[in-house]
Amino acid sequence: MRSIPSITLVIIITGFLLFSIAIQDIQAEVGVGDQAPEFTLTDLDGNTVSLSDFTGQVVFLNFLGYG
Amino acid sequence: MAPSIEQNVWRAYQNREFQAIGIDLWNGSIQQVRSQYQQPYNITYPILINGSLLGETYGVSQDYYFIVDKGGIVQYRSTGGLGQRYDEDTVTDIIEGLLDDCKKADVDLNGEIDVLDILLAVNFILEQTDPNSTQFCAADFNDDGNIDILDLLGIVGEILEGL
Repeated sequence: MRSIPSITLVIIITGFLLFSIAIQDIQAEVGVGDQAPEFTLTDLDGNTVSLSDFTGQVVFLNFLGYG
Repeated sequence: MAPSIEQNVWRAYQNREFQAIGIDLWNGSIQQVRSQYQQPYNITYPILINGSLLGETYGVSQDYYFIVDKGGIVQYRSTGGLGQRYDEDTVTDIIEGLLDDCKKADVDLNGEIDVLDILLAVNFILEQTDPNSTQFCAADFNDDGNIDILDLLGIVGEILEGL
């Protein structure tokens, strides 16, 4: 009789931990005060552009998402 | 996409220590990105393609605006709902503040304060080299609007403090 509640408890705790991890993942975004994550992508003319190319400059990032 | 970025942000600051970068989040082809953004608004700053994964890293999936300072730290992330995120007054205020900002005594802007910073400041005093605005800010240690012997003493003080 006592083993059933403890299994339930384990399931609840495991579920809660997984839920916390999932929530943390969703909330992981870059905000003020964070080091801006480095990137290297290609522009429309085929040039490779990295954020670190502009160390010492102020950089305005304009994410374009059709909205 | 805010069409006024080209004129009021990029062209306003492009001759200073400034870079604007567009990033397509929808992984469109070069032709799609050209016809969707670059051509209708005559954009001359670089637009990067295949930015969907980068958007996930930054936590954005639609139009968003960030300002990164000279040391690579995020100083602004746009807020507000869809279609209301572009606040040009705030954006230009922050950019101007960051352009004028500097690390005092780091005259050569390499992140470190050492004897090379003194040598460069001496060159500015002797007018052998002209400082850019950030270098001027860093070399004008006491903020009196001139680079002179008093600033050299201040820079020397910074170096000794760091030893």
